[in-house]
Amino acid sequence: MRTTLTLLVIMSPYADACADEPRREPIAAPLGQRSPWVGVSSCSAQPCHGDVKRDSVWPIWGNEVTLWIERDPHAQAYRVLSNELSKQMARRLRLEVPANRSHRCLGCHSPGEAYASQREEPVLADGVGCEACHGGAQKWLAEHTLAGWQAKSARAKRESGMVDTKNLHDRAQACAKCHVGAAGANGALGGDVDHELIAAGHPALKFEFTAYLSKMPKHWSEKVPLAGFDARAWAVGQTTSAAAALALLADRAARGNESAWPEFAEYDCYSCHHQLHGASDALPLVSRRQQAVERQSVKSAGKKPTIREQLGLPLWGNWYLPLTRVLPGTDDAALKATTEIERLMRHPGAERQQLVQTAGEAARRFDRWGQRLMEEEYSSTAIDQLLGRLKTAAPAIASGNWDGEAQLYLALVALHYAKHDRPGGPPADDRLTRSLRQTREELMFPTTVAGEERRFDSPRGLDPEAALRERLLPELERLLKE
Amino acid sequence: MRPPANDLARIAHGPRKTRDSLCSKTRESSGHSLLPRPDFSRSRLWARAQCGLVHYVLALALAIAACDVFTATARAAPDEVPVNLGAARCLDCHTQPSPIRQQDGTTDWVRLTEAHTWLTTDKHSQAFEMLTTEYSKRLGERLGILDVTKDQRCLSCHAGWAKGTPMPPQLAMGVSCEACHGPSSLYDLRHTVPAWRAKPADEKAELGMIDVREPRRRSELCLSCHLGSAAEGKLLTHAMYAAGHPPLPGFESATFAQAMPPHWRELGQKAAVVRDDDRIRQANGYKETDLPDVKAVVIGGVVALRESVRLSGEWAAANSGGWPDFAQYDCAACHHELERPSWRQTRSTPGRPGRLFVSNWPVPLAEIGVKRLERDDATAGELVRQDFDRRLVDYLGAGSSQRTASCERLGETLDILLRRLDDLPYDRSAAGHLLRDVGQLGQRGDLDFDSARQLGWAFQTIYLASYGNDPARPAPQALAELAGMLLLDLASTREQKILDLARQQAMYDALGGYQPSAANSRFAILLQALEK
Repeated sequence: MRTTLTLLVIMSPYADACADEPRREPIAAPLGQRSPWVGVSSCSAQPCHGDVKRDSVWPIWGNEVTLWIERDPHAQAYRVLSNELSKQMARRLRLEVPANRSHRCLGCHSPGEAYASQREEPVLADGVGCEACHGGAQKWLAEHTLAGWQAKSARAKRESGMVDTKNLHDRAQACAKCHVGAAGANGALGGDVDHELIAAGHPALKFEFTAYLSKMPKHWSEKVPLAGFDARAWAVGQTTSAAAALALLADRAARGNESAWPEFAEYDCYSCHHQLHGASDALPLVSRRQQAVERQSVKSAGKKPTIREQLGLPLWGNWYLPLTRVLPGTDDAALKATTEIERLMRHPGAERQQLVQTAGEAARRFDRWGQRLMEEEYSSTAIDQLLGRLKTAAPAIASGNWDGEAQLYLALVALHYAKHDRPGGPPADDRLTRSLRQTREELMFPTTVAGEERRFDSPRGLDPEAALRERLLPELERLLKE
Repeated sequence: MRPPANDLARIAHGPRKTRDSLCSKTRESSGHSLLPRPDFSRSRLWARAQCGLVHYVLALALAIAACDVFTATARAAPDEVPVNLGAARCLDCHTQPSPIRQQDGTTDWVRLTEAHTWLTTDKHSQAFEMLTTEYSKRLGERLGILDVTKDQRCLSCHAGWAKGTPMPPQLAMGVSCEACHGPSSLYDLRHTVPAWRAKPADEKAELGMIDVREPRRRSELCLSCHLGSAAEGKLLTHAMYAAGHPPLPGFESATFAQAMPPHWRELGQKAAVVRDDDRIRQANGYKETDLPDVKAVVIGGVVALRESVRLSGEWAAANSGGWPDFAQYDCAACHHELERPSWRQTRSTPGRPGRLFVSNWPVPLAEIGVKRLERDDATAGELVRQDFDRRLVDYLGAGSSQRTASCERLGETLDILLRRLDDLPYDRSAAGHLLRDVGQLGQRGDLDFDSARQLGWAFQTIYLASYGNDPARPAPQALAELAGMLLLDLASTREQKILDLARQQAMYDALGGYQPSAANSRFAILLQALEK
């Protein structure tokens, strides 16, 4: 009780700060809903997880915290809130407290914030520490050092508050809370990078599990079957990210007031954010989008064209959803729901309640689908079947948009590694084929224009049709033949 | 074949030539050429014009039955609705003046070359023809419009067929005489007599003639297409833009009127015998010291915001709860590459960053209007200023539920402002102050491309109106630079097409490469030049 009161008092400064932000609940940390945190310092003792070297005898490495501090960007998550960009962002967003004191930022940049006994710098400075992914440790801190712990079932551990990060589904879920986004209200872990944050300077979130996992410095050994590891991680990552994105959509629709709805962060950035010009410098001016509409008109002669309805409206769902269509164990109801949501998202103002319901239900379905995907086999044959379905779907997925193209590229990288058995090894660029490396170059945003150094966050000048035709499709064929 | 009704007209006008004779025989016989021969190579247009004769006969019969042609004093009967007769009828007289018209003083009042100018150099005459191009056909296909040359969504602007009005008799004439001057069935004969010149504008308006001399009315008229009007079915939606329609904004009345080019003379440019006639002066609100272009800039600038506000309210009423139609927002607010660093992130927005606020290109010139009032009438100026500032912020950032109310409130303020502005002087001294105001607004760090363009046009027009004939005051180099950067030049020649794709690309490039700081510095130089 005393702690609750203290927390309420502590939180009050930014309850004020949020006064002009009707969308966000004032924070009153719901103690008891989640295990309170103990902080990184409780894990980092030298004999526990803070050793300097990896232990070869124990099932755990023993130097996890050391590796995290030394190599893992998560350890810097809090510190970036003090940099110049964060200060600028706070100004542009008119935050009444600095970024490193605002829940809007701390929900992801230092999630321990809501559980700190005081809002003191050392706790906040943990950034994304152990418990952000492994779960608040108050309840299991002592117990997990005892001999019996290893024999306990995953479920029993989960019940005591420890996240089962060995399970790829649960792991992806933990990542998605911040890397896809979550409501993050009431002190829960996660945050919502909405269009306001992006406009103020926050990078837009585009999460793909295998790519992020391969970039994260490892402090563990994988416990899932290593055969086809990347294929499994990729498939599970796809559904779990989709589930998180849909849950976030449901939440946004539920709380969005009229000045924050439609939530532009839901849509394809580059549908709108492109310079106005034709497909090439050659006249007449016909943009790629217009060409796509015309192609569709020809194909659907007589039938009601679908794309025409989107003329002048941004695409929705082209990052998290298109590849879920090729995953094994298809959940037709989930896919149908996404089609319905896509329709609703073209008129989101009018049918918001329906959106809340449909997106919420779809999120649960995708999540269960992800759990089922953990049970699938990812043999060579299964991967080939996956590639076959991908080949059929590729033209529609990557048609005229960077998101689809990039997702397709990331899928091919994951499946390439799955075929070459790179079980959790370091990302080895030289093991990627040349054409995949070239595709990546193409997908990267330009850094120079006419010899002048400039920084873009949009794929200025990319021709997705050519990239698909000349690189991605041939690469798919090659992988299939291997 | 001339329709028999023309005999009546002949009585009113004296002997009169047929159109053919006007175009060729008169010129030959009179022995001097007033004008280059009109280019009627668009013979299809010309042929269509003649089809209108049928309508013309019918409407004329009605008109004659109802009025006293000879004195032009009778008013229209209350149940009479003026209808379009088609431009062919106007072309009869307004293409080239006959020697008789030159002798009887008609050309002191009216040039009678209006149709020639319109047909040969004014892009409005191509408005319908544009719809027959491959470009427009494809645009229609993308939208699912079966035939752009028959669909009222296109014809409302491209052939002056406003919603709820009968289809004009000669669509192929594009935006022709009656689209701006009003349907002519009731004034057709009446306006041909000298007494018409001294008639007050509201009497003419009752007969269907629109008072295009009045800057507010004229701007409203232009903006009904160049901005849009839901009531008249002249709506350019974002889907139409996405299908390939070129962007509309912005619109500075005086500059665009100059670029038509003018087929008229301001009262001050007409012959002394007309100019000095007190009755004509009074009926047409002529003030000798006023610079008409300067007044047009100020009034037109406020009208542009007034009409944007009206349109925004109309959109909101039609679209409750759903997507806002993106057409009412600044194109470049979304359509820009995501480049860092970006001036957009450092400017102050009326709402939250990353959220929509309606297009604000008309705001700077409306601001000029408020400043004009403040300078001449401190009390009224202060009251208007207070309302203007507050209501503008509400309007720009309003969510869907407050949109209608915020539009109404700002609209009221602008109406008051416009009434006040109408009586103020627009002489050289006022012009000097206005130039300084424009130059100062041009230094705002958050000036978007279209707003900067409005200010650039305004500066250019007012500067030329004030110093155009003064060799000691050549246009500063910075103005030329500004014109290049913002594409201020609206070339209007016979070769100039409505849609020039190369120019369109240049426009997109200018928009994409625009930096407020570059415009700011030019305005600063212009301001310095004024002080010299």
